[in-house]
Amino acid sequence: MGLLLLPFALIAYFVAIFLSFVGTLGRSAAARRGEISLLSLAWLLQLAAIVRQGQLVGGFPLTNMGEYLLALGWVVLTFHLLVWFRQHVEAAGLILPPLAALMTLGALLLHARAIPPVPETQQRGWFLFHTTLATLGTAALCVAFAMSLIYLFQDRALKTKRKLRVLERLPSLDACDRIGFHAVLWGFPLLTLGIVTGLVWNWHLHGVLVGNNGAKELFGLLAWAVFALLLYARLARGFRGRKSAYMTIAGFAFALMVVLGMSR
Amino acid sequence: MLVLLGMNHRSAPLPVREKAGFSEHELESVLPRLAGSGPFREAMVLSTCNRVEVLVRAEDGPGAAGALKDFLAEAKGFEVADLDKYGYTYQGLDAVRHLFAVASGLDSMVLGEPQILGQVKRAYALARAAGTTGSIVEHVMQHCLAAAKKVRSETGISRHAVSVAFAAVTLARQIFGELSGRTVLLLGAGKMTELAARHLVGSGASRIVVANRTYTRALQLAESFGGAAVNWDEVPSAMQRADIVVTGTAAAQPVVTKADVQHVLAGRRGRPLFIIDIAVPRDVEPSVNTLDGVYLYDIDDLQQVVDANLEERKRAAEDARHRIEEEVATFERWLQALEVTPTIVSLRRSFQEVGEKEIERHRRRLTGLSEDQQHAVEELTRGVVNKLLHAPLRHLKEAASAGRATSVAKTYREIFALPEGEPEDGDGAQDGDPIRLAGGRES
Repeated sequence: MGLLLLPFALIAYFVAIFLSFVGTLGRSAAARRGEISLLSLAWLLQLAAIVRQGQLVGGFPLTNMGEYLLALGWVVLTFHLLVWFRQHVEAAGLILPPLAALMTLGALLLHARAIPPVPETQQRGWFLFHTTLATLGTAALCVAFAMSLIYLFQDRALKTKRKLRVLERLPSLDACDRIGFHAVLWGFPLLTLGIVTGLVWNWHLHGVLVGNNGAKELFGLLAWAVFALLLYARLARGFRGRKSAYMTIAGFAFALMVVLGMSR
Repeated sequence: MLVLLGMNHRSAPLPVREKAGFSEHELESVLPRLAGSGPFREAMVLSTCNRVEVLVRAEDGPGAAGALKDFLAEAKGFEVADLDKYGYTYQGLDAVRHLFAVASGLDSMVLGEPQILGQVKRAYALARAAGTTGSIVEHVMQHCLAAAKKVRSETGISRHAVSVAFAAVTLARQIFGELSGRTVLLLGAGKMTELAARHLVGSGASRIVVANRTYTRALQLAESFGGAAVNWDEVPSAMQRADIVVTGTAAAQPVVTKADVQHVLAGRRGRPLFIIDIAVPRDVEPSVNTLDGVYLYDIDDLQQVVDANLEERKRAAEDARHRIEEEVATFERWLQALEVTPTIVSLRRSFQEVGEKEIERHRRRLTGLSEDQQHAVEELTRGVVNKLLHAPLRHLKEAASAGRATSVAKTYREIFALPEGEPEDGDGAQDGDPIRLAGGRES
């Protein structure tokens, strides 16, 4: 595996996460600059690791759980950088880079475990299509999760009227809600397609829709149901705010369990 | 030397400050008069409702502070004893330090308030327009404005809202982000609701809707904001459309109950509602705050926010004073360099003259040499002179940065019998040239 670069990427991640706390709590502009530089560095290193991995396996490196986590961490970081630059929301640095770092760490640890490659079939492309959609969808839901967490923290502080000064360093409630909702709007269709393509792949491989233990499919469908309900309530009824944030977090938790239920 | 005579909200009661204050119109004539009288060469006056500060540069020598007091006493009809009682006098770097602190908001009634910086800028502009600033005051002021900006942005001295109305705006921003496009509903058309509305509009809120028991008053206030007035029984539907509600009626009982708000929420499609209750007794039932997406702040809540922020500013003031000390030190180094510059110039000239004179004296004995050789002799002399100068010049510069300029410069003048006062520099040192200025200080 071309993962020699990953330890360096992880070091960049961890220092950046530390600086993120310094930057947010200590209002240090220098820490912010350091944070964004290191995250950009981690982004580049991880991209290089992915490309190298692709060269080594001679194809698109998204065929097993290690590769999946590697790509997922990278996409989450990409989305975080996008939100930072386009929406000027820096506070998500307390949540998204740690998530991305954990995923990358997982990729590094799984690398030790020998995982059989996906059987060479004519539908290999279909499988890669499935994993790509799932990666992008889960990463978008990560962003929704982060914004929901910040929203809940803010809501609580505003209600209890304490820790109000910390708030000034966070995006407004409105911004959290808006960005989080947009992330769900992107994540949900990707999740839907990811599930459908996954079911089709099962059918192709085993002749059944649901695989051996079915946990992955179950959690995927649960996540899908939560977000479907959330979107319906939001679009039809204007359901938003705290409960919407809780639902997003629940849906995200299910989506994460899909990863744990993966067989390879 | 710089002399500053001033009085502020702590040193003098309002009637005295009023009496001492200058209008801009007055300053147009007072500034030139001040800068042209007695030992004074430059002048600037800062006059606000909380303070009067008169800054002058005077020729060195005793009595500058006394002369300034006499001038102000005469201009404003004070006894000099009154000025001693209500005012304060700073000289030299103390004056600079005080001015830096004033511009940074450290000396303001509300710690760190931003208006004073604009007022200092204005005072500086007025003095420039009146032509009463020379390079010393110019330099003090430019350094002062830069230092004040730095102190404000790099310490917490100006951070966090310290008025109730502004705390409300900060909270509104925290909920809604930008306030543009937001609707504010005022319940009650009193002074306090009006003030809060002004702040919200000033921060970008787009629409104002006013409801009051007497409709005409509501209409009056609404028109002053270009907003709309509604009847009291239309309040629920107005609240459904509003983002921010400010209540300040004189009602003895709550006029907005939890049930009212609950009812309103049903039609809001989950948009958050920020309610600012500045009435005493309160207009809104406190339990409204438990409703999802509703943020209720009463006057005590806002006051607590303000108090906490003021505490924060006090802590930051400590830091700000350190910064100002650093800035004063930087300014002092500039001033010191200014003080040794004429000595450096005289010393260099006096050494060079020795060399040139020696060459002239031996000119005749050099005629036997070729032109090249003559040049070589001149080069050699210059080289010796420069080598000899090297150590004392370095010592002078080091003394200047160590803050011992005046005494060391004096020693050098005595040892090398340098001329007192301005070096006779033929090529027209302009006013503003540090050499000439510093020379002027000596005479």
